[in-house]
Amino acid sequence: MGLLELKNINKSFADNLVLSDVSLSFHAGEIHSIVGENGAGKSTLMKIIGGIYRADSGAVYLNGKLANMRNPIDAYRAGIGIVHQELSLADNMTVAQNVFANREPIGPIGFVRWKKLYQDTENEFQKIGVAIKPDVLVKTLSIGMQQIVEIVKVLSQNINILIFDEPTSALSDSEAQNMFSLLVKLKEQGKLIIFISHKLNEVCHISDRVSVLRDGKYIGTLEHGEIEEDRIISMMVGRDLSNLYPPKSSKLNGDIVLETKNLSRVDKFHDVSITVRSGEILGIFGLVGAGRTEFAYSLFGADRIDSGKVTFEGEDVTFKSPTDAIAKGVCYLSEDRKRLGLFVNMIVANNIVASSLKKFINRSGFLEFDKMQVVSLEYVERLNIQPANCISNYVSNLSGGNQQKVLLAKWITTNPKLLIVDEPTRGVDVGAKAKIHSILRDLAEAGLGIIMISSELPEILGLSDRVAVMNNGKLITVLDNNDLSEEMILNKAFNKHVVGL
Amino acid sequence: MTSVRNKWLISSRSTTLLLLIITIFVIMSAIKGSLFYSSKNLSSIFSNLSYDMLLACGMTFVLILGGIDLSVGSVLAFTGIVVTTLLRNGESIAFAIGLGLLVSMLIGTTNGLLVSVFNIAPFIATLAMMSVFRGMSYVMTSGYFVVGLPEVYSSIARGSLLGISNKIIISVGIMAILSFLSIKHVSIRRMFYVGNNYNAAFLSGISARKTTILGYMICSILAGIAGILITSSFDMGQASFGVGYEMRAISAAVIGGASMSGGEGDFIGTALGVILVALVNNVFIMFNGSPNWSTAISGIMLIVAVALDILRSKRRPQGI
Repeated sequence: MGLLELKNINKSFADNLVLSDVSLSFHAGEIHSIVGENGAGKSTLMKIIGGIYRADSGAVYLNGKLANMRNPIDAYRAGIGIVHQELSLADNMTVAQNVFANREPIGPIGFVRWKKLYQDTENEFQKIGVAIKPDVLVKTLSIGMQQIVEIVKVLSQNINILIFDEPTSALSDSEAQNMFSLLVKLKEQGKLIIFISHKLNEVCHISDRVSVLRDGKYIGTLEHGEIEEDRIISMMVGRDLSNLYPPKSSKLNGDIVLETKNLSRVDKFHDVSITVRSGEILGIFGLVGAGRTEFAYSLFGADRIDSGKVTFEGEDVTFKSPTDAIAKGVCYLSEDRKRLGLFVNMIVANNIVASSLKKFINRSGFLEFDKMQVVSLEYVERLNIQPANCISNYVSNLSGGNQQKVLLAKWITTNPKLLIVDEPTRGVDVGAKAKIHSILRDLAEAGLGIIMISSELPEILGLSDRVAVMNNGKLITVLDNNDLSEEMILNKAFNKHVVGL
Repeated sequence: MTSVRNKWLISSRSTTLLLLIITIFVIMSAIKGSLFYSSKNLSSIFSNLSYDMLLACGMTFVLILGGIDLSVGSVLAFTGIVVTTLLRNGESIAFAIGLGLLVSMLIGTTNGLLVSVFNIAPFIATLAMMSVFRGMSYVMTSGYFVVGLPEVYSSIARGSLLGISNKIIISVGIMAILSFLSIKHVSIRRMFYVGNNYNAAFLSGISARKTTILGYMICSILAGIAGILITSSFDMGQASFGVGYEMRAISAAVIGGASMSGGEGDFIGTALGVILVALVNNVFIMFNGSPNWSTAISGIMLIVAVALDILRSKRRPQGI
């Protein structure tokens, strides 16, 4: 009997089944890692345990007792704490104020008992063997130390199940090492540590057991001694790709549309040299933080380039702004469609023409609405945006997949020569995903060069003609997509991390 | 598909506002009779209308951009003082007005730069500018009225055409032109994109900075024009002109359909909002007798308008 048992958990968002019949068992005193590709359902599962989401069906047992958490407070009371990926500390307050936020020891007439507050804080840190001054401001601490403050904040609330969601993504190697020894210490105190990470080397390094999720399903658990990176990877992937994707490019040797030579931006990416030909889709794979989006931003003129050269259609170019880039024929579809892509409170037609307003003005600068309407209608039909009569609907009323198509339409309207798409099918249902893939292929066949940034390996393998792999701001390799497997790409993408340990 | 065009052009709110205004007129005429619809009362309702119309119209641009401009009342006073001081010193009317408009344009540009380049919150930037130019107005006049203006100057606002006062014709005319441009002209359409989603606009190739600066510039120029009209109408410059006018301008624009969170605004709605605010003020005075309530009513109307705006945006469904 485990400390925490999950039985037949199901969860879907709208029509999207995110978790399907997941059963898992966790023991006290172990570090149990959950791994899986993006979208495998790890985070959703953790949020169900932590009471942030509620499962559609299935049960959570704590110490053998049914304990379905209705909200995060329930979870805290039951002794479950989550340390989130993003720090949630108040920078301008002291360590003690953060650790005991809203729980400060208080005297008889409501004054904070500072001495006791500082003493309590020191005691909490002593439990995990860390010395810290409780009265320093959090913003003066390193990211690693802030992470530890966050952990102590969670621990100080009588927690015996600790969930870590990508805890090391912001940490340096030595900071990560410190955190691992802390995790081991906590484990030895009998606490259950649930660890989620993309960095398989870390997972292998510290886990007692590793459970794998794929497409919302539980695949299996590796016991101590069975844990190897290769085994984990083959459990994570191994999916049938058959015929989900459109055929590859029919004209591989098109003219070079874009070439970068040793492109660098301080702290973001270094020495990236790629070429994109007309008619091809170049996939860029990399883990979150690999520098892919930053690279796209600089190419698109939304951020600076510190050194290196960009040649576009045989001409050296520097785009000072997205306006520049779009005028020349370079477009960038953002990974965050609601925040950086769409005008959700405007109608579909207004969104479609947003980047090409200049095409719809007459000589005195007046917009020609009839033309805008005709073009909008044309794209709604061509990209199969649903509902079919949506051009005067607010974009916020469309589904994710149709919103993404609106965004694509916005860029196609500008007549680009190079289209950079960043996570083009994130948060999109299966049907719309296939449609977006076939649109991208059609565009390439029509002569565009396409760069597709994606964290989804099946998409990278299924759609790209060539695959560039990035890690840590560097281009690791560019491979022809002939006999590539997910394992081969993942190995390239993970490579660098193994060296670190 | 005709509905598309309608959604692009006309807001249903304007119809509601128009009905509301007519209803108030009818009811007041029924209750108070000639006391209400006497030309004396009507002209008192409309006495401030031309200035409010210009300020609210400018405010609509800024609200569409997702900003706010608290400095309009001060710009009105300052521009008026610049123009009247030049006139008193014997400069020509054309030169004085031209320089006055240039000054107001520069103030607007500064507002726009503070907001879009230095990233100062619009509320703070324009609050500071409001103080700066109200203060400058007092400095330039030492608190005295600027009088002794050429007679022709006062005829600008006081004159009339076909029985309608010039200042009404000027402000309503400007309002109508901008309202038309706002629907059709690309520079103004861009403001809707910027106000709706600044980052997405930037990444869509819309120059968000230039668009923001343009909005604040137009807003200030309109305040400057109002400053010229008010000094012409009173035949003097005065440092305390326009105190609290920003309140009425914001209220009217929000009542008319501008959203405090940006991306929405409707000039016909704003014009109707101006009339409604003036009317409510008048109704209050008719029942209570004291015009001292006017400022308080402006505040209450602003709260009501903004609260309704927030309720409205909460009700709007948000996609996934």
